[in-house]
Amino acid sequence: MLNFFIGRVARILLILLSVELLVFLLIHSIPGSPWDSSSSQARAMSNIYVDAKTLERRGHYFGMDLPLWRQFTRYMIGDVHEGGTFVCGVVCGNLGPSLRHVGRTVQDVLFRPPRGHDAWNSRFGYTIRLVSLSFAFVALLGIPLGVASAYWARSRFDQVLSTVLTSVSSIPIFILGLLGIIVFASGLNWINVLPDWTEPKYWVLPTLLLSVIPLANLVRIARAAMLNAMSGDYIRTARAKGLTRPQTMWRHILPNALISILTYLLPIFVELLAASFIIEGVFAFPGFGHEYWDSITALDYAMIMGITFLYACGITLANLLLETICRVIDPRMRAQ
Amino acid sequence: MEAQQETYIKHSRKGVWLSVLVIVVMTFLAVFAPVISPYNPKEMKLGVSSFPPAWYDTPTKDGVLEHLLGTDMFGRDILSRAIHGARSAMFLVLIAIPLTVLLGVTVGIAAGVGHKLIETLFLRITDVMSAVPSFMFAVIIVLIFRSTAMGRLFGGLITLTLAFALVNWVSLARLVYTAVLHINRQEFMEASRSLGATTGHQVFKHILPHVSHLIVVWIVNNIPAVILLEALFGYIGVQILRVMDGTSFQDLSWGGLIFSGRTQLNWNPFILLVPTVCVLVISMSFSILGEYLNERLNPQLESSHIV
Repeated sequence: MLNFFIGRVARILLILLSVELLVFLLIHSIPGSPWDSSSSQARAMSNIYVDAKTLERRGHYFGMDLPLWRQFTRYMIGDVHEGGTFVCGVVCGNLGPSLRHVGRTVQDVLFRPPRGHDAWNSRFGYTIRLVSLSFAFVALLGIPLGVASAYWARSRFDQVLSTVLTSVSSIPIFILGLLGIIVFASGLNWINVLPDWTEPKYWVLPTLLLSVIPLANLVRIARAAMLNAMSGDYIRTARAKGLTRPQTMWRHILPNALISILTYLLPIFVELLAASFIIEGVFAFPGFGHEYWDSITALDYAMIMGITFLYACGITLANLLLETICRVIDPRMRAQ
Repeated sequence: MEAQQETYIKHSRKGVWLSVLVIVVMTFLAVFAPVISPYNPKEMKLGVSSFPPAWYDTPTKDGVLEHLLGTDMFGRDILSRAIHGARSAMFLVLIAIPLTVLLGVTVGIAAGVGHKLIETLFLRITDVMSAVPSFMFAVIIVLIFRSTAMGRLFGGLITLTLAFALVNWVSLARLVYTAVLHINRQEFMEASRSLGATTGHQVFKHILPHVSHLIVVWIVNNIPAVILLEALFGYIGVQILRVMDGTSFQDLSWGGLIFSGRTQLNWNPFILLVPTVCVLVISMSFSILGEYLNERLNPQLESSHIV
């Protein structure tokens, strides 16, 4: 088990390094600079009268005048700055100064809650709360529904469920969002159009919308896994020796299917993270995704790399957790 | 059980024919859009701006029969825009999806049956790509390509195709790769190898038929995603073509229509509704067709009615 962990941690570190390198190279091949007037309207507004000398000084402060590989090592490991002091990089947990939020570091923007609020109200807190709420909702509803629709496969229930889920999930998520706002805010007056995120009732709509597509996918996956487990020869044997259908279901099919369903929960989690971007855009939800969109159009290099890094950390760690759980549950994987 | 299965297949056959019909009609609309549509969808006429649908009267304006679904705020005919929208949707379905499938399946099978080096390289790449939400890469690809000459082809559709293909092949390749590993361990593959089958024979006679159902399911799941990708980019503030010079395909696409319709919801909800229903219908038809093909192609589902 120890060997397994050491190997995995080394691999995760390698993956994180490669992700950062790849994103670094990609965002530096986007034409334009952060202070390009066309890269964002906001920058144009504030920089239209800035003279070349100031821009140069600003570029020097952020290390833009260094060669690319030096910029990368400066970001990852650290570099000696103006006054001769060594400023540590990502390896010490310093995600660098943000280009857009003047005078603040990236980790400060992402993790520090606004003045007078508790830690859950930081950008990190918002995203993690939204994603975990949806994840719980999807897992607790999706697996039973998928199992049920496989148990009564090809029944009316199965057909109606799959039709409803496919049609709802093929409506684009932002249209569902608009409809939701129209129904709940204009029609029923339950919520305001301008949300107040400290109240739980405003969280219902984003959570539901975020869950729609992953829920449909999970039901489909769970149903397929169950059908696959049902087609095994040992199920025929179990039925032949006189077990009833529910008995076979509980003792033989479900445990086998659950393992493969469980391995799909990670992709569901990743899907939720990816989709939370869009939901955060639609609802002006103050989380990571919202910050990412603002940064990518304004080319805030440090912020883009910082958010990517944190997402990669979350996903690889979730992966590790999942693999560990699978090893504990499934004796076959331990033997390998 | 038998009777139930019979009715199921009969029921689904009707659906299959209907969905084939929908796809044929959509392709027809896409090909003959300039002939069918009553107006030039790009022509702006300020005199007829902001008309509601023909059967609907607002306090300021009554609907007219000349513009069946009304006009947008620049006086462009909504019906013509919607008909032309089928073009970019079908382009994406018929170009972007096959391209991604080709890339994903080739890489997945090559990693499964090829040299150890290819496999290792493939695994490292998928590790990196799947460590980050794929949409992050897609946006960066759009930002890189949208100002190049290649990215501007077909009004930016090539940029969108690249953004889709270069990111989404990974999920398909991983799917195919795991399936190939599983198939490779089966006895019939061993038998085939010991009889002296070449790699090409193994791939085309044994592996491809066994992964085809996975590919079909993947395609079905990704069709709505690819049609609506551009609307999504619009929503988060990334334009596929930077300059609004009138050549952008987003003027004529369902995604663009949805994006512009959301602010005009009050007096003409059809700007939003028509493209949404089109996307819904087309993805439902592909979904029904895909499920049917899946039932036909998947060798493992045959015995599933025993329990």
